[in-house]
Amino acid sequence: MDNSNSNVPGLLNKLCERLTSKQESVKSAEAYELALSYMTSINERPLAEEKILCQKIHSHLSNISSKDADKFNECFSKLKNAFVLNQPVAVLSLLLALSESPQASNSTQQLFPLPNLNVDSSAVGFTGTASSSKSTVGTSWGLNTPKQQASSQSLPSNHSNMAIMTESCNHVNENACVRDAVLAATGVKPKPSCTLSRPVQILYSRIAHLGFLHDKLKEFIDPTSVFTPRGLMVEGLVAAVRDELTEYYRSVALLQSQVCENDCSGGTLRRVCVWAQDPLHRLTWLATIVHSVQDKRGGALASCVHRFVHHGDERIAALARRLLTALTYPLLLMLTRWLLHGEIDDPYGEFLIEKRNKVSIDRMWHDKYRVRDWMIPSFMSREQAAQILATGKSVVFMRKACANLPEQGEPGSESDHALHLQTLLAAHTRNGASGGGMEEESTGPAWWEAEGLREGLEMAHAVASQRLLAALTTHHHLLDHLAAHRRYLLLAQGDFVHHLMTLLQDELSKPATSLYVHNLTCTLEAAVRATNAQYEPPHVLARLHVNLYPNCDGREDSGWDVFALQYRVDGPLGTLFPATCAAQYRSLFTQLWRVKRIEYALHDAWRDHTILQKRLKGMPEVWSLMRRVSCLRAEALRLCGALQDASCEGAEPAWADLLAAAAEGHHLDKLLQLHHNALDRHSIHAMIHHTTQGRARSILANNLVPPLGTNLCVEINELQSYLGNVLNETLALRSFETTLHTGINAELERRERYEALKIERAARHEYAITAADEVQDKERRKIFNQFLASRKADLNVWARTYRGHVTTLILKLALHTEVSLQTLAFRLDYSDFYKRGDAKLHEPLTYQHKRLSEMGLHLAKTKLLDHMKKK
Amino acid sequence: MTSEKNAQIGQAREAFQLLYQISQLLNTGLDAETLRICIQLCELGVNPDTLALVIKEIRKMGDTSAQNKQTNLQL
Repeated sequence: MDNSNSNVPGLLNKLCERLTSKQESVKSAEAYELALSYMTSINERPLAEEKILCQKIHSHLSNISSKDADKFNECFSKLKNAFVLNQPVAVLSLLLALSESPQASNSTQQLFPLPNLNVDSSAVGFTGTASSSKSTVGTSWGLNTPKQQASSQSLPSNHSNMAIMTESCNHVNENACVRDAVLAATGVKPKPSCTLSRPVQILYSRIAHLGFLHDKLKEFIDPTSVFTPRGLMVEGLVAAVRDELTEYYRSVALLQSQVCENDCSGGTLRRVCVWAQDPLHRLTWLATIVHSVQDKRGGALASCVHRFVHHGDERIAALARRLLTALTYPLLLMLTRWLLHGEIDDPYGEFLIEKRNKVSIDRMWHDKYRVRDWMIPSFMSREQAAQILATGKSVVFMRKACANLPEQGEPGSESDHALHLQTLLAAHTRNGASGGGMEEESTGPAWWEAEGLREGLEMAHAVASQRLLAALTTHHHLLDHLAAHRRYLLLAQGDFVHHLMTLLQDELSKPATSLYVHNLTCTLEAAVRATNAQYEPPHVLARLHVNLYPNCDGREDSGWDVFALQYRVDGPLGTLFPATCAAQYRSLFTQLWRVKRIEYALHDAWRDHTILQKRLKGMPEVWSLMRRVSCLRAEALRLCGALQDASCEGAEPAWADLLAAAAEGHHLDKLLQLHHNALDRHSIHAMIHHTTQGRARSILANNLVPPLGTNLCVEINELQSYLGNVLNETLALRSFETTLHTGINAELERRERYEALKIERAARHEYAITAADEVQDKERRKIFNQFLASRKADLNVWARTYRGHVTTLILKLALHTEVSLQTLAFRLDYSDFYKRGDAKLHEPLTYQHKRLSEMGLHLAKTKLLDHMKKK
Repeated sequence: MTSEKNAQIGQAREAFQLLYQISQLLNTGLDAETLRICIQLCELGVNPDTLALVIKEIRKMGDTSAQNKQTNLQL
């Protein structure tokens, strides 16, 4: 060793030279000056203890890799045996200080701070001196990276005189107390060892509060406790809480070992109290969360914990996030199973989809499965829940109802569907692999908050419904059947309907009891064969049937009242069209068929009339009456036509929407909803009121009708009866004409006979008429005139009642809230014919009246509501 | 006497090797010669924290001046 090596400045110089030799820009002299100034300016500080230093290095290395830490342990133990160095601690602390931590590794984050009761005076002293520039220190010193400061906070030493005084006073006392406190923190109730001073008592009770919280949590995770309703998701939460508690135990155990190890050096109550801050915070919030989820299960539980995720405090949010991830794991399993296989494995009723076992498989699409609203976790929207329901339902439907499809075996289809759930599945496998509650934070967002959830669900839903719709349209001819419904049940196929009407005319006029379905079926087939309906595909024609619906009230019905066409959908499609739908079609058919029949009858009357007309040249007394009848008939015919137009045209856009949606490949629920919508439009325009409960419920569920719905129903019901009156009167006109025509015909025949008799007698050169004949003829004519007079009176009465009914109908239509019905009122009376005839009709078509009547309606509604409230 | 001294030197060498290993584990960036000087300084009672600070400062000086130079060149 030469001289320059033995003294500090020489060595420093050498060091500077070595350090600066790599960097030409810095002169070693400058560096030496700097070094000297540092050496002289900074006060000497005592060195850290060997053990603590060792621990520090160890923890530092284990952050990077456990292998390095082991290596270090090995080296260190060897070094200890060497005894060559005088200052091993100094060298080690130098190395530690110089060590550069690699990019912040956050593989393990400690939930609870590791207790460190020993006074790390060097570090503390340094932070004390440089507290003003803490951030620079943090960066320049490898040890104090912010991360570590956050996780393992070093405890402040009690350098203040005050602390030293108290420490010295009741040192022995306090040591026992500290031990008790640590015990209390785990819920053990130690015997009060001795009387404590008041401040100590306060500190003690603060630490002991941990014990209380611990007991609460312990009670929650206790499997035998009866308080918590069990369920898979609750068990998930319990497991997560148990993990937290295990961490807490670890922390307490470390604390305890340190307290027991160094009885005299610094294990004061205050330090324990400082250590307790973080666990207190964490356990308090754990207890709060656990308390808030009492009596909750499934989705409600998840929603409850999800609220805490939005907490402003990051620590609480992270805690809640960890708990939520753990407890939603069963939900994720259920969800994937449902989405992929359509199976519900939910022994505790926690899943957001419910399977109703009582409902038979025929009503599978509409009623078998439903969303449990209260089980939808708050991180899912209602739309998403509906999508989940529809996706799983599609899968079930494909398997159960379309089981015989050849396409089923296609390998690409199923995986395609699963492909979109990849994100979900990825999250699922990842969580499954990591297992513990610790690492999940680092693996990115949990599945329930990941962006992929929404997208994956949407895509899976789209694919599943596309497949279902394709299967339904290609193999089950969904659209054909919809069109056939419209053509045959809603009378859109004009030629067929007319021909059927002609064929059935005589048959249906018989009383209902003498009708037989097989006869009518033959007639139906004849009508199909004779018209364009024969070009329909066989799967449509096979479903078209005739049915008789006898009334239950024992009235004498004619065939017209009981006859109805029926379109039977069965198989998979049957589940899509519920019974209520068929009932609605039936009532629509009945109504339309009735109007059609009345129109047909009036046309019939016109034919009779025209035939009769030619023979009436010699009978001028009936001309005026005939003319009046034909005017009234034209009026009634026009009304019938307008009604038919209205009921079909009103629903036209809705049907167009439906077809467009089907062409674009919207999902099945949307199509069904549009179909219902179209049917509803039809019903409104045909002024049919349907009271079926299920229908009303489904309308409410689909939100198709605003709250005004019930009101609308009542009004439609009213309209239906008014319309019924009008139609009955129109039929009365037909029977009136029949009697008139028979009367006139009889008179005509008598006169013809009389004339013939006159001619015959003249040919025999007798007197053409005798006095007796003349008297008889006069008598007859008188009777006939009386008949005509009474008919005329009848007609006047009829016309008055008919117009009255029509006026009421128009008035009601004009006052209706539905705009299209208001326009129908206008169409029925576009020439102001009825308006001129009735003063009542003047007002309703003006704006002012409408406003007033709306106000009146509003008032009536509020009154009704009040009334109901009182009830 | 010489054998004792030799043994001591051997021990010292071994200890140095161990320290060098630790230094590399901790990624201090010191080469063997610099480490030797540092150990000698520590043995002489220089405060390790201060020494570490000095080394870091000198390194930083080098960095900043190198950067300055680069910017100068660019200008």
